[in-house]
Formats: sequence, C-alpha cells, structure tokens
Amino acid sequence: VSTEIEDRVALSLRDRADRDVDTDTLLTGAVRRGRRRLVRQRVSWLGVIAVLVAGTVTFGVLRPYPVIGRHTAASPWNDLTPRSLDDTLMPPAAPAGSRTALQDPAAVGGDPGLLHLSVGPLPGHYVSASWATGSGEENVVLADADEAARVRAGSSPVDQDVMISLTTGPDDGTHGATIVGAGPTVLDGTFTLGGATVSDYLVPGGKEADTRLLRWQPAPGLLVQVTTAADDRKARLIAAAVRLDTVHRCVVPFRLTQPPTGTATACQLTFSLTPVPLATTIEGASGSGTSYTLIHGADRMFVETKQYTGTGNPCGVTDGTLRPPSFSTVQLDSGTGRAYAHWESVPDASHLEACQPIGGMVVSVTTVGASYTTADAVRVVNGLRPAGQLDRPDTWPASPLL
Amino acid sequence: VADGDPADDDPADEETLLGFEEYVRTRGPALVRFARLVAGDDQLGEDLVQEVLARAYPRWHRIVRSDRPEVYLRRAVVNARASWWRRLSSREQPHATANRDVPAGGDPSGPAGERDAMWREVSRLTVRQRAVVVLRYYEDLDDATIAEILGCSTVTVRTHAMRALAALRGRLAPETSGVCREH
Repeated sequence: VSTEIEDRVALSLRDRADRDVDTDTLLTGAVRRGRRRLVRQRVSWLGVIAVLVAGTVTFGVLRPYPVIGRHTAASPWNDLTPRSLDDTLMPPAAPAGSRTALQDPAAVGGDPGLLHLSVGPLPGHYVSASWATGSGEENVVLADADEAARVRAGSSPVDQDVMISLTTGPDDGTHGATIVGAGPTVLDGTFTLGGATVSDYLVPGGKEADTRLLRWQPAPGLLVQVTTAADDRKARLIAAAVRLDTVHRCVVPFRLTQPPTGTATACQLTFSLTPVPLATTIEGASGSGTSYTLIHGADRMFVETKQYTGTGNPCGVTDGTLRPPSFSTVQLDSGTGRAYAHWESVPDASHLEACQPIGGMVVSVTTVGASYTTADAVRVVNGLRPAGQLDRPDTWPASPLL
Repeated sequence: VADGDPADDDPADEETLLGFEEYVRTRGPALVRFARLVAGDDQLGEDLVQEVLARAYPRWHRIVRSDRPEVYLRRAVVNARASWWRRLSSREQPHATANRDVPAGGDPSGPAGERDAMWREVSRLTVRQRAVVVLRYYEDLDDATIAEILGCSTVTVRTHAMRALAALRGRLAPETSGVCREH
C-alpha cells in the first residue's frame, strides 16, 4: 500500500521525466561514439599485449598490485554460530589507553582517526566491512558474500547485510532516520542486553524480506542501532556482538604533502576479502578503499582512494571524444607520462578524477562549495604520497595531514 | 561497468548492429527519462545515456545474450552518475542545487507547484537515494531488481528508500514530521 508521500513522489517523477526524447540524435551519437571506442580498444589492446610480452620477458611474470584481504571459503549462511570477523576486515587497534565510547561517549564520531565501535564474534559470513566515523556518528556496514557465492554454497538467497550505528545524544526518537518514515514499523519486543533494554523493531518488507531494527542505549549519551534482514534470533546475536570497549584507528594509506585549507572531520575505511577488479567495481560491490573528509566553513573536500586491482582503465571517462560537456582535462605533475585527470563540474559537486595509479591506488577528490577550487583539488592530488604498505593497514597513518 | 574489456568482440555484424539500433529506438527514450531523473539534470542525463550506450556498443551482442540489457544499462547509468568513489562519502553527499530548468512561476501551492517542490527535494537527495527513489516510484521495480541494478543488497535498497522518504517528508512538512536527522 503506497503512502501519500510515495504517491506524490511518483507524480512528481512522471511529471519531470515525461518529456520528449530525440531518439535520432541519441542513436547517431551512441553509434558514432561506440565505433570510435571500438577502434580505440583494438589499438590499446594491442599495446597491452605488447606490454605483457615485454613484462614476461623481462620479469618472468607480472605481479598484481597488493590486495587487502584474501579469499576465504564460504560458510553456511544460516549458521548461528558466532565467528570473529576475518582479521583483514578489522581496522588496526588504537594505542593502549585510548578512551572507549563507554568511558567517553562524547568522543564518538569526534576524531576522524578513531573508531569506537567494534564487533566481537557474530553469526554470518562477511566479506567486506566498511568503518566510518565523523559528525558525531560512527558506523560499520558488514556485507555478506555475493549472490553467486551463496548459490555455490547452496544456501538461502536472503541477504544478510548488517549495519551497526553508534551515535551520541539522548534517545529522543530521532536517532536513525531508517525508522522515521518507514511506515508500518512495529515494536516486536524488547530484551535486555548488558543491562540495557533493547527495542526490537520489525519493518515489514512486503514482497521482500523484512528488515529488523534493534536499538538500545548502552550508556547515558550513547545510542546503538543494528539494521539487518536477518531473523530475530540472528539479529539479537548480532546485537550482542556489538563492542564498545575497544578503540581502533581509522587510517588512510596516504599523506597529503600539499593539504588543503580546512579541518579533517570524517574518515571511512573499507576492507574487502574479495578483490574486485576496479573496472567492474560498482556501488555496493566489495572493494577496498578509504575516504578522508576535510571541511572548510560550509564547504567540503573528499580525498578518496581505491585499490587498483585490475588491468583495465580505472577511470570511467578517459578520452576527450567521449567526455560529456561537464568534463575538462587537468594536467597533473608526473614524470610517468600517464598523468591525467578529469575535472567534472556538476551542479551538486565538482570532482577531480585522477586516473593515474599512485602506489597501487587510484585517487579522486570531490569538492563541494566555492571555497575549494580546481587548483586546490589538483594540488592535493599532486601532493598525495603513499604512506605505509598498502596491504598492511597497521602501517598507515591515522591522519594524512602532516 | 567494465571499460576497455579486452574480451570485447566486434559487434559490427549486421544483425547485432540492427539489434542495437532497434533497442535504442524502442527503449532509448525510457533510458533517457530514467537518466534525467537520476542525474537531476536533463542535459547531463542525456549525456550519460549516450556515453553508456557508446560503451555498450562494442559488446552489445554479449549484453543482449545476458537477457538483461535493461538492468545492465540502468546500472551503467547510475555508475556513470555516481562513480565508485562517491560511495565512500555517501553519508556526506552534497545536496544538489535547485535544478536549473525547473519551471519558474505559477502557483507554488497548486498541483504543478507541489510537484516542482517535490522534484526539487528529490534532486537534493544523494545520488544513491535518488536512484532508488526513481527505480521504485518511476520505474516501479521491486527491491530485488533495484538491488541488482545498484549492485547492493535489498537491505541497502530499503535503507536508502526509507531515508529518502524520511528526508522528503521532513523537508516538505517539517512542522508536522518532527525532527529527522539524515545520516
């Protein structure tokens, strides 16, 4: 049953989208561009073959870039046996003596270099973990194995991704927008966890699996929320696995020798057991990367890295003939001869895509607001230097700012 | 979407080429409309579709063989709009500025004005939230198909949808919906 707001959204979208489309222009342009692309691929592929041949002759075998994590065998999905997350999905530990969330709730989400949320052994088989801190909130998203792996394992196709959030402040009902506006969310029960009362909500999924949302206040000023499609029993085991008595570091594999103006506010760290070739990486797919956010007044700059594990071109747009009008080419400082970047200026953000792999990473900078310019973004990319060993996050700095 | 895949074959046999053209003629307009909404900008949406179709062209025979060109191309449009790195900062996705070609004038409290106001708020959603909203309420797809297009889980789809609706509800009627913080 659709709600009034859903009806209004649908009406607005139809009103907005249903305008004429010039199919002839679309087809002509697509075929012309497609043919160019085809020709270019043939040429570039010949070049790749030449490089491979040369590499084999010179070095015997070409080594791929190092990859965070490793493949592990799938385990049964519906097994409720708690297991520790794979070590490679965990961020490095903070120095001994760091104050935990329980000791200092106000510290949650306050330092982009520290993570106060963790998990102990929990049911499920997770292949990636994304840890984030900033703006008074921390969260971790644990993604289970992909559909193909599930099929191979012969287990249920019901996804079991888990999102755990930790925020500060009183439980005034506003925590977790996931429950606000969800419609027929129902309180399905309560139980006690470490002395706190956990509210167990059910968000009916209609044709899809239901979502379960567990929320509790483990200490004054702290709120925890678990969202998962797992059943009630498993969800409660996941809640019981939430740890607030440890501190980890949110680290990045780079330093900025030419940092922009601004203050660091947020960090996100994604580890994956399954390396995904960058050229096929999509939203939600597992892939390792980092994000560091700087803020200057109301404006923001995101400096992000992604591991480069493929042999294809990591950039979506690489050729002037294919660039939409909003793109322009930016020259980077590099002696490699492969330095190029694209500056995309779009209404909601401007984006510098540095396609040159730097130490096994590709780098991007997104700016929001007028106080960060193209020159700032280029300077940041030019000044970015790998720090630590890419496959050893414990060697990465907690801040890229020197 | 793979780019520069060396395994791409020549699509230029007559049958494949005709199939591509037929697809663009029959399904291209729907793809453009979808892209306009996801991009939040008509021109950008059309650019994205042309780019996506150009990339699909060299491998069209394989895409067709997958029997899911609709899913493939919509995924490609979303990817083109919100490239992989933006996932990492999705919690802090900037809000879009008001769309430049939103019609001005008219009665803002009338039906057209209300639809414009709603669209402006939709365009302020993060790219991922907007994509889910468009796929759900314009394309009328189920969560499983949306998840397939976006390459994420259905939980993520529902989370995006719930957050998007909560945000829209809060922005359009802040005096009645209470405080709702968007993460």
